Amino acid sequence: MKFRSTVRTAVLDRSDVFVLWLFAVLAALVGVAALVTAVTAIGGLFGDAVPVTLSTVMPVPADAATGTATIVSGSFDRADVVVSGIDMGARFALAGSIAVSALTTAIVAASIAALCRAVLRGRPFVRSMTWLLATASITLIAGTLIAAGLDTAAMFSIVAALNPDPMDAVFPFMSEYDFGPLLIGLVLSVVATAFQLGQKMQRDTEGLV
Amino acid sequence: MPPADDEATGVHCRLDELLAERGMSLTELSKRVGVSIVNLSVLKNDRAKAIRFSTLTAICEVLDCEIGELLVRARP
Repeated sequence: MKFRSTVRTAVLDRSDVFVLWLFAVLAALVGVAALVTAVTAIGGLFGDAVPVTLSTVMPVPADAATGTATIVSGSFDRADVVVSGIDMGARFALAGSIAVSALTTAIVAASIAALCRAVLRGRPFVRSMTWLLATASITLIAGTLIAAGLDTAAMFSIVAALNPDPMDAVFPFMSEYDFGPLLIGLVLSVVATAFQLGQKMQRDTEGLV
Repeated sequence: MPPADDEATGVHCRLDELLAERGMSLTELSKRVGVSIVNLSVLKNDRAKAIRFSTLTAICEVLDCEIGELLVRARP
Protein backbone atom coordinates (compact mmCIF):
# COMPACT_ATOMS: atom_id res chain seq x y z
CA MET A 1 0.00 0.00 0.00
CA LYS A 2 1.28 3.44 -0.95
CA PHE A 3 0.95 6.16 1.65
CA ARG A 4 0.58 9.67 0.34
CA SER A 5 3.19 12.04 1.70
CA THR A 6 1.96 15.16 3.37
CA VAL A 7 5.40 16.81 3.35
CA ARG A 8 4.55 19.26 0.57
CA THR A 9 1.32 20.47 2.06
CA ALA A 10 2.63 20.43 5.63
CA VAL A 11 6.07 21.99 5.12
CA LEU A 12 6.28 23.84 1.81
CA ASP A 13 4.58 27.18 1.52
CA ARG A 14 4.07 29.13 -1.68
CA SER A 15 7.46 30.88 -1.52
CA ASP A 16 9.25 27.53 -1.06
CA VAL A 17 7.48 26.16 -4.12
CA PHE A 18 8.46 29.27 -6.11
CA VAL A 19 12.11 29.02 -5.02
CA LEU A 20 12.25 25.31 -5.86
CA TRP A 21 10.80 25.91 -9.30
CA LEU A 22 13.26 28.78 -9.81
CA PHE A 23 16.21 26.56 -8.81
CA ALA A 24 15.02 23.76 -11.09
CA VAL A 25 14.67 26.10 -14.08
CA LEU A 26 18.02 27.82 -13.37
CA ALA A 27 19.77 24.45 -13.02
CA ALA A 28 18.28 23.29 -16.32
CA LEU A 29 19.38 26.53 -18.02
CA VAL A 30 22.91 26.24 -16.60
CA GLY A 31 23.14 22.64 -17.84
CA VAL A 32 21.97 23.56 -21.34
CA ALA A 33 24.23 26.65 -21.44
CA ALA A 34 27.25 24.56 -20.40
CA LEU A 35 26.65 22.08 -23.21
CA VAL A 36 26.02 24.76 -25.85
CA THR A 37 29.12 26.73 -24.76
CA ALA A 38 31.22 23.56 -24.83
CA VAL A 39 30.08 22.66 -28.35
CA THR A 40 30.98 26.18 -29.54
CA ALA A 41 34.35 26.11 -27.76
CA ILE A 42 35.24 22.66 -29.08
CA GLY A 43 34.29 23.79 -32.60
CA GLY A 44 36.83 26.64 -32.29
CA LEU A 45 39.66 24.26 -31.36
CA PHE A 46 40.02 22.68 -34.76
CA GLY A 47 40.71 25.80 -36.85
CA ASP A 48 44.17 27.18 -37.63
CA ALA A 49 44.19 29.67 -34.73
CA VAL A 50 43.21 28.35 -31.32
CA PRO A 51 42.39 30.65 -28.38
CA VAL A 52 43.98 29.38 -25.13
CA THR A 53 44.67 30.74 -21.67
CA LEU A 54 48.25 30.06 -20.58
CA SER A 55 49.82 30.47 -17.16
CA THR A 56 52.66 32.94 -16.94
CA VAL A 57 54.65 34.95 -14.42
CA MET A 58 55.28 38.34 -15.99
CA PRO A 59 56.06 41.45 -13.96
CA VAL A 60 53.70 44.37 -14.23
CA PRO A 61 55.68 47.34 -15.64
CA ALA A 62 56.17 50.13 -13.11
CA ASP A 63 55.08 52.75 -15.66
CA ALA A 64 51.63 51.07 -15.83
CA ALA A 65 50.58 53.56 -13.15
CA THR A 66 50.41 57.21 -14.17
CA GLY A 67 48.36 58.59 -11.28
CA THR A 68 49.34 59.66 -7.81
CA ALA A 69 49.68 56.06 -6.61
CA THR A 70 52.62 53.93 -7.71
CA ILE A 71 52.99 50.20 -8.30
CA VAL A 72 55.41 48.67 -5.81
CA SER A 73 55.39 45.22 -7.38
CA GLY A 74 53.05 43.00 -9.34
CA SER A 75 52.78 40.23 -11.86
CA PHE A 76 50.42 38.79 -14.45
CA ASP A 77 49.60 35.13 -13.89
CA ARG A 78 47.51 34.35 -16.98
CA ALA A 79 47.49 35.36 -20.60
CA ASP A 80 44.78 34.89 -23.20
CA VAL A 81 46.58 34.09 -26.44
CA VAL A 82 45.60 32.85 -29.87
CA VAL A 83 48.02 30.18 -31.06
CA SER A 84 48.42 28.47 -34.42
CA GLY A 85 50.33 25.33 -35.27
CA ILE A 86 49.07 23.27 -32.35
CA ASP A 87 49.24 19.50 -32.86
CA MET A 88 46.09 17.38 -32.87
CA GLY A 89 46.93 15.69 -29.58
CA ALA A 90 46.76 19.00 -27.71
CA ARG A 91 43.56 19.95 -29.51
CA PHE A 92 41.90 16.66 -28.58
CA ALA A 93 43.08 16.99 -24.98
CA LEU A 94 41.62 20.50 -24.78
CA ALA A 95 38.40 19.33 -26.43
CA GLY A 96 38.23 16.41 -23.97
CA SER A 97 38.75 18.72 -21.01
CA ILE A 98 35.99 21.08 -22.19
CA ALA A 99 33.63 18.18 -22.98
CA VAL A 100 34.17 16.43 -19.63
CA SER A 101 33.77 19.70 -17.75
CA ALA A 102 30.54 20.55 -19.59
CA LEU A 103 29.10 17.05 -19.16
CA THR A 104 29.91 17.17 -15.45
CA THR A 105 28.12 20.51 -15.14
CA ALA A 106 25.13 19.18 -17.11
CA ILE A 107 24.85 16.04 -14.96
CA VAL A 108 25.05 18.01 -11.71
CA ALA A 109 22.52 20.55 -13.06
CA ALA A 110 20.15 17.72 -14.02
CA SER A 111 20.56 16.24 -10.54
CA ILE A 112 19.68 19.57 -8.92
CA ALA A 113 16.61 19.92 -11.15
CA ALA A 114 15.52 16.35 -10.32
CA LEU A 115 16.06 16.98 -6.62
CA CYS A 116 13.91 20.13 -6.76
CA ARG A 117 11.18 18.12 -8.52
CA ALA A 118 11.34 15.40 -5.88
CA VAL A 119 11.06 17.97 -3.07
CA LEU A 120 8.12 19.62 -4.87
CA ARG A 121 6.41 16.23 -5.04
CA GLY A 122 6.95 15.85 -1.30
CA ARG A 123 9.11 12.74 -1.57
CA PRO A 124 12.79 13.67 -1.65
CA PHE A 125 14.03 10.69 0.37
CA VAL A 126 13.61 7.98 -2.22
CA ARG A 127 16.19 5.52 -3.49
CA SER A 128 16.42 7.18 -6.91
CA MET A 129 17.37 10.51 -5.29
CA THR A 130 20.08 8.88 -3.17
CA TRP A 131 21.52 7.21 -6.25
CA LEU A 132 21.27 10.42 -8.27
CA LEU A 133 23.14 12.43 -5.64
CA ALA A 134 25.80 9.74 -5.30
CA THR A 135 26.22 9.68 -9.09
CA ALA A 136 26.41 13.49 -9.22
CA SER A 137 29.04 13.44 -6.47
CA ILE A 138 31.20 10.81 -8.18
CA THR A 139 30.76 12.54 -11.55
CA LEU A 140 31.79 15.88 -10.07
CA ILE A 141 34.90 14.47 -8.39
CA ALA A 142 35.97 12.30 -11.33
CA GLY A 143 34.98 14.91 -13.93
CA THR A 144 36.99 17.65 -12.22
CA LEU A 145 40.10 15.46 -11.97
CA ILE A 146 39.84 14.17 -15.56
CA ALA A 147 39.16 17.65 -16.98
CA ALA A 148 42.10 19.07 -14.98
CA GLY A 149 44.39 16.28 -16.20
CA LEU A 150 43.43 16.77 -19.85
CA ASP A 151 43.72 20.56 -19.56
CA THR A 152 47.17 20.30 -17.99
CA ALA A 153 48.33 17.86 -20.68
CA ALA A 154 47.08 20.22 -23.39
CA MET A 155 48.70 23.27 -21.80
CA PHE A 156 52.06 21.52 -21.38
CA SER A 157 51.93 20.38 -24.99
CA ILE A 158 51.14 23.89 -26.22
CA VAL A 159 53.84 25.46 -24.03
CA ALA A 160 56.38 22.92 -25.33
CA ALA A 161 55.37 23.72 -28.89
CA LEU A 162 55.69 27.47 -28.27
CA ASN A 163 59.15 27.32 -26.70
CA PRO A 164 61.74 24.51 -26.89
CA ASP A 165 62.98 25.54 -23.44
CA PRO A 166 59.86 26.74 -21.60
CA MET A 167 61.66 27.11 -18.26
CA ASP A 168 63.24 30.35 -19.46
CA ALA A 169 60.28 31.48 -21.54
CA VAL A 170 57.26 33.68 -20.95
CA PHE A 171 55.06 30.61 -20.59
CA PRO A 172 56.67 28.03 -18.26
CA PHE A 173 55.31 24.52 -17.64
CA MET A 174 52.47 25.64 -15.43
CA SER A 175 48.79 24.94 -15.36
CA GLU A 176 46.03 26.31 -13.19
CA TYR A 177 42.70 24.63 -12.66
CA ASP A 178 39.81 25.41 -10.35
CA PHE A 179 39.39 22.52 -7.93
CA GLY A 180 36.36 24.11 -6.22
CA PRO A 181 33.96 21.62 -7.86
CA LEU A 182 35.98 18.81 -6.25
CA LEU A 183 35.03 20.16 -2.83
CA ILE A 184 31.38 20.44 -3.91
CA GLY A 185 31.57 16.81 -5.06
CA LEU A 186 32.75 15.76 -1.61
CA VAL A 187 29.92 17.75 0.00
CA LEU A 188 27.44 16.08 -2.37
CA SER A 189 28.68 12.65 -1.30
CA VAL A 190 27.94 13.57 2.33
CA VAL A 191 24.48 14.83 1.26
CA ALA A 192 23.90 11.52 -0.57
CA THR A 193 24.72 9.66 2.66
CA ALA A 194 22.31 11.92 4.56
CA PHE A 195 19.63 11.10 1.98
CA GLN A 196 20.27 7.41 2.55
CA LEU A 197 19.49 7.96 6.24
CA GLY A 198 16.47 10.11 5.35
CA GLN A 199 15.21 7.34 3.09
CA LYS A 200 15.29 4.92 6.02
CA MET A 201 13.58 7.41 8.33
CA GLN A 202 10.88 8.12 5.75
CA ARG A 203 10.29 4.39 5.34
CA ASP A 204 9.88 4.12 9.12
CA THR A 205 7.12 6.75 9.08
CA GLU A 206 5.12 5.04 6.32
CA GLY A 207 2.04 3.47 7.86
CA LEU A 208 2.28 5.76 10.89
CA VAL A 209 -1.07 7.18 11.97
CA MET B 1 13.29 -8.79 15.07
CA PRO B 2 10.98 -6.11 13.58
CA PRO B 3 8.60 -7.26 10.84
CA ALA B 4 9.50 -6.50 7.22
CA ASP B 5 7.66 -3.67 5.50
CA ASP B 6 5.16 -5.90 3.72
CA GLU B 7 4.61 -8.31 6.64
CA ALA B 8 1.50 -8.26 8.85
CA THR B 9 2.11 -6.46 12.13
CA GLY B 10 0.28 -9.05 14.23
CA VAL B 11 -1.88 -6.34 15.76
CA HIS B 12 -5.62 -6.08 15.13
CA CYS B 13 -7.39 -2.76 15.56
CA ARG B 14 -10.95 -3.10 16.85
CA LEU B 15 -11.98 0.34 15.67
CA ASP B 16 -14.78 -1.04 13.52
CA GLU B 17 -16.37 -2.95 16.44
CA LEU B 18 -15.98 -0.06 18.90
CA LEU B 19 -17.53 2.39 16.43
CA ALA B 20 -20.45 0.01 15.79
CA GLU B 21 -21.05 -0.46 19.54
CA ARG B 22 -21.24 3.32 20.00
CA GLY B 23 -23.15 4.00 16.79
CA MET B 24 -20.48 6.39 15.66
CA SER B 25 -19.26 6.89 12.10
CA LEU B 26 -15.65 7.12 10.98
CA THR B 27 -16.30 10.66 9.75
CA GLU B 28 -17.53 11.78 13.17
CA LEU B 29 -14.58 10.14 14.88
CA SER B 30 -12.26 11.84 12.44
CA LYS B 31 -13.76 15.24 13.29
CA ARG B 32 -13.64 14.67 17.04
CA VAL B 33 -10.14 13.16 17.13
CA GLY B 34 -8.56 15.44 14.52
CA VAL B 35 -7.09 12.57 12.50
CA SER B 36 -7.85 12.28 8.79
CA ILE B 37 -10.37 9.71 7.58
CA VAL B 38 -7.64 8.22 5.39
CA ASN B 39 -5.43 7.57 8.42
CA LEU B 40 -8.34 6.22 10.49
CA SER B 41 -9.24 3.95 7.61
CA VAL B 42 -5.64 2.69 7.49
CA LEU B 43 -5.90 1.97 11.22
CA LYS B 44 -9.34 0.35 10.94
CA ASN B 45 -8.22 -2.00 8.16
CA ASP B 46 -5.08 -3.12 10.03
CA ARG B 47 -2.79 -1.51 7.50
CA ALA B 48 -1.10 0.81 10.00
CA LYS B 49 2.46 -0.11 10.94
CA ALA B 50 2.78 2.33 13.84
CA ILE B 51 0.57 4.63 15.87
CA ARG B 52 1.42 7.80 17.76
CA PHE B 53 0.60 7.83 21.48
CA SER B 54 -1.31 11.08 20.86
CA THR B 55 -3.51 9.41 18.21
CA LEU B 56 -4.05 6.40 20.44
CA THR B 57 -5.08 8.39 23.51
CA ALA B 58 -7.27 10.74 21.47
CA ILE B 59 -9.21 7.84 19.93
CA CYS B 60 -9.57 6.10 23.32
CA GLU B 61 -10.82 9.33 24.94
CA VAL B 62 -13.47 9.86 22.27
CA LEU B 63 -14.54 6.20 22.30
CA ASP B 64 -14.25 6.05 26.09
CA CYS B 65 -12.28 2.83 26.05
CA GLU B 66 -8.95 1.42 27.16
CA ILE B 67 -6.02 1.03 24.79
CA GLY B 68 -6.28 -2.74 25.21
CA GLU B 69 -9.84 -2.63 23.93
CA LEU B 70 -8.76 -0.83 20.78
CA LEU B 71 -5.65 -2.83 19.97
CA VAL B 72 -5.42 -6.58 20.41
CA ARG B 73 -3.07 -9.27 19.13
CA ALA B 74 -4.23 -10.64 15.79
CA ARG B 75 -5.15 -14.31 15.82
CA PRO B 76 -3.19 -16.30 13.21
